[in-house]
Amino acid sequence: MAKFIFLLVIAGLMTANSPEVAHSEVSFLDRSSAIPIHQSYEGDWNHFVGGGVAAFDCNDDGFPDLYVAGGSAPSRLFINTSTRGGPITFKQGEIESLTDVIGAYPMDIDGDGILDLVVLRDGGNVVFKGLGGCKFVRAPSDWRFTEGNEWTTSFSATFEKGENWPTFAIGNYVNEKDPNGPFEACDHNYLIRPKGRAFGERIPLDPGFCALSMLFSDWKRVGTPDLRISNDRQYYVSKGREQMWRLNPLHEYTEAEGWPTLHIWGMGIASRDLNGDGLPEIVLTSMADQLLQINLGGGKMKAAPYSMGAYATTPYKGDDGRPSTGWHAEFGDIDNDGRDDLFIAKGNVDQMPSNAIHDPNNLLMQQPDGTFVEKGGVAGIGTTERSRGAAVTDLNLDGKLDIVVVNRRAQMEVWQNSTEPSGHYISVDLREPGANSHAVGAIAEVRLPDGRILTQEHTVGGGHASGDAGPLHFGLGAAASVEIRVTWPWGKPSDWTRIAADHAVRISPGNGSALTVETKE
Amino acid sequence: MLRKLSLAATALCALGLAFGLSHGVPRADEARPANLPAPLTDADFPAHPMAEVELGRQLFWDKIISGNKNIACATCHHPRFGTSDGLSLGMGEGGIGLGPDRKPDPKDYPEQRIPRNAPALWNTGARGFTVLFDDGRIEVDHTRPSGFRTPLEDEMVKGFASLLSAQTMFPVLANDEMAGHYHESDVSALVRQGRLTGPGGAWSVIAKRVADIPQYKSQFEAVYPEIAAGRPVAFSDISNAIAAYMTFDFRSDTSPFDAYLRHQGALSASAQKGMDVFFGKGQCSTCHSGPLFSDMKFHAMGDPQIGPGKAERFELHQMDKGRMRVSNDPKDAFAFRTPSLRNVTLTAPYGHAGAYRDLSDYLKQHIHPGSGLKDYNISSAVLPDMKVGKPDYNPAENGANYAAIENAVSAKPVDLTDQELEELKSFLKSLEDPVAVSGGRMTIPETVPSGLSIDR
Repeated sequence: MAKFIFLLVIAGLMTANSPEVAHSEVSFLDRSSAIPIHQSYEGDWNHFVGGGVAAFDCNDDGFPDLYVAGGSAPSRLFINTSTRGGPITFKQGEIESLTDVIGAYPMDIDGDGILDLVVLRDGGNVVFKGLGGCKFVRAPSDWRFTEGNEWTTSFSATFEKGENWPTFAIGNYVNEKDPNGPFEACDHNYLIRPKGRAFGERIPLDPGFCALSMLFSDWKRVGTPDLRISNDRQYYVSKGREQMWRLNPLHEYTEAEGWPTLHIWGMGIASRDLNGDGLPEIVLTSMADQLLQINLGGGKMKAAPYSMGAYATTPYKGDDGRPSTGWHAEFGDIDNDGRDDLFIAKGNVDQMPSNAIHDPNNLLMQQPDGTFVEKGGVAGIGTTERSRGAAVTDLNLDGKLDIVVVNRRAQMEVWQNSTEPSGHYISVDLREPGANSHAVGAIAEVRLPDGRILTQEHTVGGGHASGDAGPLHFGLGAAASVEIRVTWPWGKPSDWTRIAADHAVRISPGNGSALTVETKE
Repeated sequence: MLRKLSLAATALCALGLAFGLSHGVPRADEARPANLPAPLTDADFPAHPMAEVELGRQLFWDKIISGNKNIACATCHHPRFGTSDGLSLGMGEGGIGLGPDRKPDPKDYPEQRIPRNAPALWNTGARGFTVLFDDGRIEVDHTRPSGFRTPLEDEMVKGFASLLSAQTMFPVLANDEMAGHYHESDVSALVRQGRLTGPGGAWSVIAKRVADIPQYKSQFEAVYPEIAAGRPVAFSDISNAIAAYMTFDFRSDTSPFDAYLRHQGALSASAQKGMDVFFGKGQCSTCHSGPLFSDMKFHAMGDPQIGPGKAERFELHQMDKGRMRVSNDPKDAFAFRTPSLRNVTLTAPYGHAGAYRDLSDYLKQHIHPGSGLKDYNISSAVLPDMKVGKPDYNPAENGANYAAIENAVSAKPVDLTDQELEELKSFLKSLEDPVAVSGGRMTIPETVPSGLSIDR
């Protein structure tokens, strides 16, 4: 068990007068050999998509552990054995062996404070109940989870108002049993709402358009999440679209409500406020252009200009000029300069001659003017395997975000962030009493000394078949202390509370609108 | 019908024509341009047993290798149109009829035009033809372990015998060219899914289709000993046979200019003057060099871009960045491989997108690279009526991006008089091979083993 020290929070004690962080070139060390076994996402056509990784601390030691999809090959649990600031290392853990795993998302389902694991499969999903110590058992039957028998490729979860059990969204791909498939044969998606302290019946979210990523997010910042679904036009072909669902009453947004029809080869969702207005921008991975949409507020999104530099349309290195294929996307402040950067996993579907065969992964570093500059080649992480899922999280608790990548038909990769100098940071683990122990749906805001506000929403979902339950990581640049406030799920914003930089903190609701901040040692 | 001659008669006729045109006194050597290429010889072409050539001939003309069994290689590479199709941009799968008469099949409507002009096949089997397609995506590349570059890179199957054979493996995988769309057939579905190689892949499905026809099976066994010994027919066997056929049938080195090179004939006075322009003032031979009239390199010559562009369905633009889409090198933007000029008078329209139906019009803007962009008129193209999703002519930045095409041009303009242009055309006419005019060295098969109809 980790130790906690109550931190006396005194506003104004910490000052923010350290100089601006010197410009640093981002760099990584290849720690792929830390994975003690050949771990590759394998299989035929039903594993062209998927290949996710769940990053989550399953033994409460603060170090994120990994559950990695193997497709037709074994999926495995890797327990993080790194020491703080040391080289990243893993040992293999024990978990029930499953085949045809597509991906996985960690979350605490039953409110016992221990993270459980939702495993997406081709042919029936599995929920593991976490027991602590990285031990798992199948979810008890009284959770009444419907495993289904579809080809599940996406997932998101939220806690609806007043509920003591999560709501799941299950996104399915092609209906393999449809004799007229595989084109124009997308399966149903489902919403599974709670029934007391268990799951209720599956509610179809029709029509389904071959969902490869789903995300519950309060994208309008109105206090109520909607469900975004990113769909693969490769299989819905023409009569589909990107979707947004309202939960109450349950229905899909229409053009009349201002939700424009958009067709992409959607594979992954990343969500993060980039311009400081509190509204999350969205990256939707696809083929060729990786679509970055700016959130204008009021439920309106607008495609970012190409000059923002984040479209990553074609490989930035190598001698293959065909369009890229994007999969997992995740924001994170790689150099802790107070600006979120963007990692995109890339790779050919398998043998698509239309797209680059050697397609390097992207690391798009956000600049002070809000544009993005490609550094994947410089940082060394721009490998050209068929990458799929990924996680951007601090694996050795040195305050710098590391990167895990799962590859189809190739060994997975682990990249230890070695960027020097790096700015200050704060790592925030949100907790609240009750069923939603990890405060899914909470919004954490960090106010920098210059008044800029960094906003992160604690979501479960998105990416490509990959769930990251790591703490919220804020790069702070030169700030040695910052103020933080949290809007708890279905609650109001807390008071601004000053905390020192360069710590991992666990934050929970305090008295009234205060926060309780514990520093992890 | 052009192709009535038997194989033997064709060869004899070619020989006779070559000599028949050789009237007049051969030009004195000292008056010849110093940079004339050497004549093509047998050593420039791989030799194949006639049984293999014959097998390839049947496959070239047989629609069995297309997804919907409705289009053969010959449909868009037809001897009546100089082994091309007479169109600026072809209509592949879903078209009916040949050449300018080709029309969309209302029951199987094509989704878009083919983005580039169908290349002529003359001498593509020659050893010197080291770069295939306008962008060279199939090429000899000694930096790669296999010695070749193909779109599948490390995934490319083994067993193809030549560059031309490797090239022949790809049109059958293109949905718009030969494979068809979505779930129209087993092949088209596999192609769209990206399942190409291996036991269940598109190539093996086509190969099985062919091998299941006894008349093909026995020919493959007769031609390839490994197949006689029990190895299943692979798609690379099909492509090897087709390549052998194309190498033989579309060898073209008996034009008046070839006779001239061999000191066996003379050129007309006008063609001789044109030759001087070509190898001299016009600087044509800087790029159109060697016996194949190509340096096998890439040049941004500012040809107008029309049609859908080299853009996949998930791309919005209508650009064709040419070599850059292969090499990923910005220096290669809008650059295309120098085309061979043999039988150029038979292969209209001209340019990588076929923007010009008329050779004179093409040449006028070609000597001033990029000059045709400003006032380009789409009526210069030969495009059959067809509903298209993107406009055929769209010079805007988010379309074909004519400004960028013009900006990429680095070749210097050359000034030629109208008379010199006419002489240049006379010279190009001297590259026209009577064998090619008559449709090649072989005839169109009467039937093919699948029993499917033949596009004559």
